[in-house]
Amino acid sequence: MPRILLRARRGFLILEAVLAIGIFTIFLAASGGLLLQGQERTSWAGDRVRGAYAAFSALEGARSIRSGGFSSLPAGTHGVVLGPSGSWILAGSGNTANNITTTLTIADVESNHKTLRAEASWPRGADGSGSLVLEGEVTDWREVHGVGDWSQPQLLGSAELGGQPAFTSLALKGTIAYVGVASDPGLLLFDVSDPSSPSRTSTSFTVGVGAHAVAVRGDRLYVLTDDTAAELRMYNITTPASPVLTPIASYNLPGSDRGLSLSFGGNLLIVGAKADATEQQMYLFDAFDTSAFTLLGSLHGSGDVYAAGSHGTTAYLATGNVAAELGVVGISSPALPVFASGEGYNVTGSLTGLSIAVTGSSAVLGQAKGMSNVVVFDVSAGGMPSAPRYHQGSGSIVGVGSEPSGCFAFLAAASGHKALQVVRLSDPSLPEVASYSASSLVPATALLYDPGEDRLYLLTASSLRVLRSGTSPSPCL
Amino acid sequence: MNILRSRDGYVLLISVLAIGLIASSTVASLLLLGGASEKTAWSTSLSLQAMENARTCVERAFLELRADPTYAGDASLTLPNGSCELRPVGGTGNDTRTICASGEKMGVTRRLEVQAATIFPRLEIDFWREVASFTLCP
Repeated sequence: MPRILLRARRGFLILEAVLAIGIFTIFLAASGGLLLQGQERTSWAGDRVRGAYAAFSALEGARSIRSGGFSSLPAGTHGVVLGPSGSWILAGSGNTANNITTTLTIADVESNHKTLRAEASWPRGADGSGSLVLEGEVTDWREVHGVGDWSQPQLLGSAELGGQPAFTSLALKGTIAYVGVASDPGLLLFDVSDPSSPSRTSTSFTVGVGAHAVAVRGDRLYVLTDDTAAELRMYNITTPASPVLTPIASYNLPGSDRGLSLSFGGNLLIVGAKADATEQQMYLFDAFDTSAFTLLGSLHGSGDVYAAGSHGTTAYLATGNVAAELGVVGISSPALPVFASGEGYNVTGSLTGLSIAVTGSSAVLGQAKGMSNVVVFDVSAGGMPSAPRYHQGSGSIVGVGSEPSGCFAFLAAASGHKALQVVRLSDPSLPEVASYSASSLVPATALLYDPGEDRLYLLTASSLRVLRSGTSPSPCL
Repeated sequence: MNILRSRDGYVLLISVLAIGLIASSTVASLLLLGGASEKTAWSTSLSLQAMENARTCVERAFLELRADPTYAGDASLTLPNGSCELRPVGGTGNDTRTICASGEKMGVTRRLEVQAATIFPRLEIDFWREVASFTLCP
C-alpha cells in the first residue's frame, strides 16, 4: 500500500522541487536586491555626511581667510584648500578630495557683508551624482575702527537755533540726534547724516514738557521729563527720524519732578533722582522690557544722582553727596542694589559730582567748578576703586566721555572759553591736550562720543556741534 | 520504515526555513541600518546648516552693533536656507555685549552664545560657545 502511494506522488515531488527552487530563487533575488538597496542607502548616507562636512569645511575656511582681511574673499566661485603654511586659501574654481568636489561661491551684499554658498558634489552609481549646499554669511566685524588724534579736534559742522531753547542732553540713533530741551517741546531731532550741516527734522514731534535727559536702546527712545505725573517715557523710534508721538509707556517716579539722569548700565536702565528724605535716589528698570517700565529695584542715598555708568556688576554714580562724590553700588542683584561702604568714594575736596563716563577699565568723574574737579578711577576690578588720578578742568564738568582706545577723555564744561576740553587719559598726569570753544563763547551742556564714526557731538544751550579728530591716527593705537 | 524515510525532507525544509529567516533578518537589519544612516546623514546636514544660520545671526549682530552701539537685537531673520533668531543683545555701550542666536533648519536648531569684550576699536571676543539653552539672554 505505501509503495503505491509513493509512486503516485513522484511527479508532485518534482513539481514541488521546481516550485521550491523558484520560490527560493525569488527570495534570493529579493533578498539580494534589498541587500543592495540597504548597502546603497548606507553608502548614500556616508557620501552625504562627507559632503556636508566638506561644505562646512569650505565655509570654515572662508571665515578663516576673512580673519586675514575681508578683501581676501573676492566675489566668485572658488576652491578652498589648505595652503603650504597650513592655513586655508582660495585656489582654483573648486577642489576635489575623497571623491567629493567642493566649490565656494562668494557674493557681495555690501562692502562689509558677503554671502557664502558651499556646494559639495560626488559621483553616485554609474551615471548619477549627489550634491548638497550649505549657505552662510560673513561680515567685516574684524575691521579695526580707527581713532584719530583728538589732540587736534576740528569742527565739522553745527546747527544753531535762535533764542534760548536750553538743550540739556543728547542721544544718537544712526544718523538722528535726539536733543533734550528743558521746556516744551522737550525734544528736537537733528539729521546728522551730513555732519558738516546738521539740520532739524521731524519738527512736529513734541514731548509736550521739558526733558532732563534722553537715552536710546534699540528702537526705543527714553526721555526723562519734568512731567510730575509721568517723568519717564518710552517712545517707539523704529523709524528713527519719525518717532511715534504717543509714548509706548510712562512711569511716575515717586515725588514730583525728581528725575535727573538716565543711562544704561549692563541690562539695566538706571534713573538718577534728586535726594529726598524718604524717596529713593536710584531706580533700576529692566532694559530688556521694550513695552513697559519694569522696576527691578531702587536705592536710597544721601545725595542727588546726576549721572550713572556701570562696569560689570557695579554701578558708578556722580552724586551730590560730598562725602561720596563717586557713588558705588553693587547691582549684581538688581532687586537689591547695595551701596559700597560709605556709599562710595570720597574724592579730594567737596565738589558735587555732575557727570560720569565708564569706558573699559576707566571711570571719569566730572565735578562742579573747583580744584581737581576731574577724577579718573581704575574700575577694572569693579567695586570700590582706589587711588584715583586728578585733573584740573575749567568750569563745572557737566558731561564726560572717552573714546574706546582709552587714550583721550572729553570734558563738556560750563565754560565759555573751554566748552570742550580733551585730556590725555593714557598719560598718568592727565594733561589737557586740546580745548574748543565756540566763537560766541557759550558753555557746553552735554557731549556724546560716537565710536562708530569717531565723532564728538557737543551741545550748548542752543546749538549742536559736530567735531572730529585730527587726521593723524591716535597716538595710542 | 517508508514513512520514516518520507520525513527526511523536513530536515532540509527546516534548514531552508531557518536560513531564510536568518537571511530575512539580515536583510531587514541592513535595510533598517541603511534607513537610519540616511536619517543621520540628513540630520547632520540640517544640523550644519542650522549652525551656519546661527553664525549668520551672530555675524549680522556684530555688524549692527558696530554701525549702532545701541542696537538691541531681538530680531528674526529669514535666510535662503532656513532662519535664525537673535535674542535681545545684552550689555550697554562698548564693553561686555552678549549675543544669543539660534539657527533653524527644518526643525533642527543650534544655539550660540557669544560675549564680546569690546566693540570698538577692535571687536574682541571673550567667548563663543554652543549651548543647549540660553543662559545669558532673556
